[in-house]
Amino acid sequence: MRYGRPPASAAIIAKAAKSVLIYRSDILVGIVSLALRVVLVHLVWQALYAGDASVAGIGRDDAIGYAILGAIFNVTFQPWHFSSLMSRVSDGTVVFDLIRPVGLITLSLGQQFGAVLAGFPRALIGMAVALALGAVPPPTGVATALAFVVSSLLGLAIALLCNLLVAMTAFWTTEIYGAIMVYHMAAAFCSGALIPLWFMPGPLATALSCLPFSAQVFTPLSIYLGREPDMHTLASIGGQLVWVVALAGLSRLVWRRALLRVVIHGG
Amino acid sequence: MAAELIRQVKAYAWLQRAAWKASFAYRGNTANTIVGVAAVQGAQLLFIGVLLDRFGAVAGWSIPEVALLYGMRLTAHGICTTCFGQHTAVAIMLREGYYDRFLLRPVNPFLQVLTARFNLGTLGDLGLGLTILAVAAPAAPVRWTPLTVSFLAGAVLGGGLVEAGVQIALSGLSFRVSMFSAKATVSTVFTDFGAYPMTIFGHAGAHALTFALPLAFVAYLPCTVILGRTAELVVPAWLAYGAPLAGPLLLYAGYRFFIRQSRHYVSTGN
Repeated sequence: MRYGRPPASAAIIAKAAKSVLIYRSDILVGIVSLALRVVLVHLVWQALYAGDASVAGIGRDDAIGYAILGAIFNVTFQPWHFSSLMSRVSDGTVVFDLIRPVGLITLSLGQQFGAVLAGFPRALIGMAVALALGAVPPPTGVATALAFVVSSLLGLAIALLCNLLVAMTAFWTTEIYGAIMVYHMAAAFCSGALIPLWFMPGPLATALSCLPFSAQVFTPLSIYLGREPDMHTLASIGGQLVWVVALAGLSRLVWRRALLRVVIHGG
Repeated sequence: MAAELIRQVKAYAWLQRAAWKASFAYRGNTANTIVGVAAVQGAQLLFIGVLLDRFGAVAGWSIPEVALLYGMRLTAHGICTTCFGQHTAVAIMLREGYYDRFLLRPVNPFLQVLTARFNLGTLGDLGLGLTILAVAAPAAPVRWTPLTVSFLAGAVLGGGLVEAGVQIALSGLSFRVSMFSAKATVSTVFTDFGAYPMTIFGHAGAHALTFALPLAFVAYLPCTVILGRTAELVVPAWLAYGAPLAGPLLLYAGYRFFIRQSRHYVSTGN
């Protein structure tokens, strides 16, 4: 890294964010539809509770708050189109990425992170709507808010690494639409973005909490809705850190093997 | 007019068959997709299963009634995605310049967009939708006669066309303004909120989801007819009885809108 220049990764992130933000109408529709979604989810969960104060031991306010935060996280952290890597493998343009001075993993993660970053204003507006409706309670304290932010960022890191791993299967199968579909739905369900893990039958909830998905959404949301942070909070954040390290290692490993597999069409 | 329509349908059938074959060409992906479809549908089933198991009735609708509504919605969605799903790719086609190719060929570009590829995963929506319908229909408090069965068939077909019409119109907007992820967000509003009795959205909400966004026509309105629940509607009952007819109308309107917008096409030049 030379002095006076920002690192290449920062430039990659900024460019990726810019390439999302440049489509203004897309941004506008995205904001409106997330706000609409927040309102609809609020109504659905209110109707589901229909006067009951608690179902399966979960209070009405916690469940509604969770469902709305889950919807915001789902849209922000788990977008449909998360990496251009697969289309670049299938049409061969990945060759240009391979000859760049920045590694493909840095490039791909940077691009994804930039794109997610561009979605943050939308998420904040969604959050503001939820707070204004009284659908999501404000965090219980500064410590909770801080723990939530840290845990969310770790959750995001886990989501990006999982995306990268799925995108890299393109080196083996070329077409990966199938893999994306599985991943998208599995991530939405298993991460607890659709229904909190609290409502799932015991064995299923236990099984899901052992997968990296719950660390993407369920962990930060339970910290937000939880009481004062305690040892348990620290343990969950520690668990997320372990996932980040493990998935980063796995990505490197898969990437090494992918390099041996890569075939560029003559085009 | 009729001869032209037949010609278009034939062209669609030919191209769709080719896309179908092409989608099986990547074996790894085919295997992947079959596993994928099972996982996706499994997740959907788990979602609705966990929800119904925990909450039982929703807005006075019993579990079999909600299951019937859910089955109708998913089957309609399956019809929409298997036959018309590819319109979503038009945004990326425009952005990357693929659309230029369609203009060089002697077939309606709209049909070429629809048949650019076939997404195997969509068969899963249709398959699971039909399965849920088959399970929920006998359990629901409905006396099935040839008339109700044919109304159900017309309703899910019409529902699929309603969804297709709205989404095709939205895709048409891509010619004017570059919309990419936003459209996907709008369509998930469609898929995620179509399976609830509309009364939960309140009076204004139910109106909005009937007239502003015709979500109610996809499954809710015809379902109230089948279940004999038209009394709870906030809109006139004849709308519910006529709901299956909304499909072809909206599809045609969506198609006309798409074609009109396509006149504003400007190539990216690559």
